[in-house]
Amino acid sequence: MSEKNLTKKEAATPVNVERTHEWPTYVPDVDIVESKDCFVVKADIPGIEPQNVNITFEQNVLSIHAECSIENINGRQLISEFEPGDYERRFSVSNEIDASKIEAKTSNGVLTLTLPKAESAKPRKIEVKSV
Amino acid sequence: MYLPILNRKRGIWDDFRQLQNEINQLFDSTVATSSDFPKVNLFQANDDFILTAEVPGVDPKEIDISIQGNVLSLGGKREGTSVAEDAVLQRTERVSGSFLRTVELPAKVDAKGIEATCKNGILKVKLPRAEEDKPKKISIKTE
Repeated sequence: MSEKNLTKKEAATPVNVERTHEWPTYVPDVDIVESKDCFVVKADIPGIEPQNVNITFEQNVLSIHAECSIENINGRQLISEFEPGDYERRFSVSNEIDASKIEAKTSNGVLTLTLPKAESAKPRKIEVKSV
Repeated sequence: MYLPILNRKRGIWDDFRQLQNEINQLFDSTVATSSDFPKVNLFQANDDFILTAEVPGVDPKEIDISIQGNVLSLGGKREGTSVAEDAVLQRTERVSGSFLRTVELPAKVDAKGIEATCKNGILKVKLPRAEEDKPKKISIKTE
């Protein structure tokens, strides 16, 4: 597991938008699987309560925004390798997604989004009729 | 004649000395860690150590926590994203595979009193300091 760089990237602040809190916002690592019927997006969002994940789909942009609830541990910090933070990422998705059927679930700090393809976008097999 | 180089307060040896100090600090540090997954934080609160680790996508049942002396090991496996036969992996940023992480604690801990919880991909291990290793207060008798 050591080959890949595991450093978290901080999300860029959009122009003219300022954050009102002091903790960082990260870009979550994602895996995307495309199958015949759907896209599946998996994103690592450790430390996020499921109810604090907001997913919006607007004008073909899928936005993931996960807000962290900071739990303070009192005491002296001896090792500091990660800092809790929000997660934010956007994907532009083509028209072929059926937005009304997008599903999201979280499990062990991983968000799984299922984006079903619209009927019209699914590959169709055209039968060749023999006359 | 003005010689600016002679007026510099910090000479070349100061830079070396600073570097040496920094290197010494690296080796002297009370806690040492290995590998880079999972990322950990360690806190000391009163007589307990609290370790938190980011383990998204790892089944808590698959995490092995063991302690030997004052070295804590976290081992496990993170499954990769499964891809069906007719599907294509368009993007793989999440790492997967086995991991083993060891963290050297600054003091011995009571192995029986260790408690671990895992929530939303954050593992939290509470490690009470061993009774025999706790700092003892010595009262001064007045004669």
